[in-house]
Amino acid sequence: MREQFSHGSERFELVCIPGSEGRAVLRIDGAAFSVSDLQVDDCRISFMYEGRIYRYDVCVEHERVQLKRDSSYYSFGRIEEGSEDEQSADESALLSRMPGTVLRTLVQPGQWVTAGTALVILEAMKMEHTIEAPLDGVVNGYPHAEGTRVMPGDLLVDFSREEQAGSI
Amino acid sequence: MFHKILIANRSEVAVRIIRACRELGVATLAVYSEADAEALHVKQADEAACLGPAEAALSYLNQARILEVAQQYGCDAIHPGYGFLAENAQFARRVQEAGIRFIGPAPDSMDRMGAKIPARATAEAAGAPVVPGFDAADASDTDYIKAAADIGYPVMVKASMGGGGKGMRIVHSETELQAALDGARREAEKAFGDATVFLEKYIVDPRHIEIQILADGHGNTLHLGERECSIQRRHQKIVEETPSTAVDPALRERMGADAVAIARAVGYEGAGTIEFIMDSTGNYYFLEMNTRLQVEHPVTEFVYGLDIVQWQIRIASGEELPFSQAEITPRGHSIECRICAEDAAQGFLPQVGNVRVLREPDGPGVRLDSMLYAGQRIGADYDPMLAKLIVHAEDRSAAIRRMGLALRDMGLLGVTSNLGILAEIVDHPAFAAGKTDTGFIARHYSDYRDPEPGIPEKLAAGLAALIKGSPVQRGDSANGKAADPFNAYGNWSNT
Repeated sequence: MREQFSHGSERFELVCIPGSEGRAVLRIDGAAFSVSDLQVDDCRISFMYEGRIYRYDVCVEHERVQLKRDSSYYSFGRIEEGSEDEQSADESALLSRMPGTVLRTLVQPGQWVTAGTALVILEAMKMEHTIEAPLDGVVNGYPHAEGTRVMPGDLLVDFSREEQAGSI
Repeated sequence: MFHKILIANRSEVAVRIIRACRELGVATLAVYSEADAEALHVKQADEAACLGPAEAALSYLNQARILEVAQQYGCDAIHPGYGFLAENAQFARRVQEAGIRFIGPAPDSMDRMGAKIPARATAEAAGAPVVPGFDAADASDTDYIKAAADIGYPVMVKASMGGGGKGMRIVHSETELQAALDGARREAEKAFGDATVFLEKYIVDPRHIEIQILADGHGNTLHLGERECSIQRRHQKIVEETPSTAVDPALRERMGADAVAIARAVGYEGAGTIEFIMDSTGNYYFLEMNTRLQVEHPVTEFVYGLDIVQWQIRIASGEELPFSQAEITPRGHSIECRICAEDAAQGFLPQVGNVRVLREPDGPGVRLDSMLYAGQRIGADYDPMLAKLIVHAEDRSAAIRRMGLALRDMGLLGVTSNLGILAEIVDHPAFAAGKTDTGFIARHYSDYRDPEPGIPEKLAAGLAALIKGSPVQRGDSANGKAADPFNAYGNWSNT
């Protein structure tokens, strides 16, 4: 069994070789780790690793795995096998993270902007959220016009990374 | 006492009011939007009626529909909770005219305290200190620019009808003022249907301290001490406590007396809150009055041993408060944390999801006011607050420990919440030292990141994913239950 995960900008591949009696060997990007005393129920997982028992609340969804241990929460993205290496970190900043409405598009298409320039005001839950340029670059256009309802994952700005013309 | 109360709200506050009604032996009618058909308050009320579509204007803000339902179901009172119509004097009047009791102050009191501009004038006349500001209702933008210069930057643009941080902007210089006025008006118009804004001197990183008022219709107006609500993000409170580390008995008496004077000045009846801000030298200023139940009321309930929601209902039904100011004394310390569907690592951006794992903390002095149940869909239609965790203990350090444990015992997966950062906040040395002001989050968590996973977390994530949702069927693992993953792995125990 093998699966790829992401955490922030980090990515890793995990291979699991099940053993008997609650043992398993896992490889993270090739390095091997042994666990034992593995126990699983509906939403908990526990195992022994390097002589210590670890217990987590877990939630496995199509696109992520969430864990909780004590008062710490962790969320790992699941990268679909064979899929294009999904959105670059740069682009993902321009995706709507939640359902909302495009309130204003602030910069004319074709304009060059510096990182941090406000590009779109998104309204969600009666609050305004500003979407900023992740890098220096050019705004090519807006896939969703002002007043359009958008869903999580919708691209809000067609943007390309570019040094300022003439600065090279 | 009333026969049946319509609860014109949703979420944990509706659930809270249903509980109070039950203890008083009053029947309850829940109302809900189509998005909330499966909500907890709908399940818990004696009866429930659908108001309309998810959009608040067509459901929870739909005055005509709510009145129609109240009459149809024979309700003799309406409790508005907080938010939505709670501070809408026009609604209170319409309720009154329909021969139904609005559980809250008289519409005239709401008019005078509901909008921030007249409220400032009232507080000033009652002898309470107010923040230097500019509030000419018909002023032009040029007037604002001049006034802001006179007050001195930074200034704050606020919506007169505002609350919850909506329609509020901090302005550091004249170049930012116009955009702030426009943005605040736009947000205020959307949220409150009134674009009127005003200016106030921005007091940098004040403490937010408020006084709870309880006033009956027989001339008794009492205060129930202060709550400190300085820990805020996006100008919205997330951790509240009483007593405040900045308030001693003498100051409590002074602030309480100011609050009582303001409430008396408007003939206030019911539960209300006078909000003050306090600068770093201990000067305090009237900020606004909330003419309704407050989200953080449970901390006061804990230390005063009173049920504020029940008293709202009893006062509205004509009862007289049976105790005097001298007869009520606070005991111990109480803290509340607001649990919200939001991602602290992404600027507290609200989150949607499905509640897959829910563990509720318990134990002595632990209370959870919640709208949550396992399997619930958390959508984007309403406020992201899901629940409030409240603890009470003998003193502040015991309360902090108790809150830390309760936050650790609580579990919520499937929707990203602020539980992780809340646990960090109550564990922070500055919080323990009482160094709390509204700059706390920006100062300590401006670059908040979720904890870095170590090897055990990666192993756990991998094992969970591989066991509980193989790539082939992982789309089906949505309810958090594995289809039948164990056979493939031999002897792993399923406990």
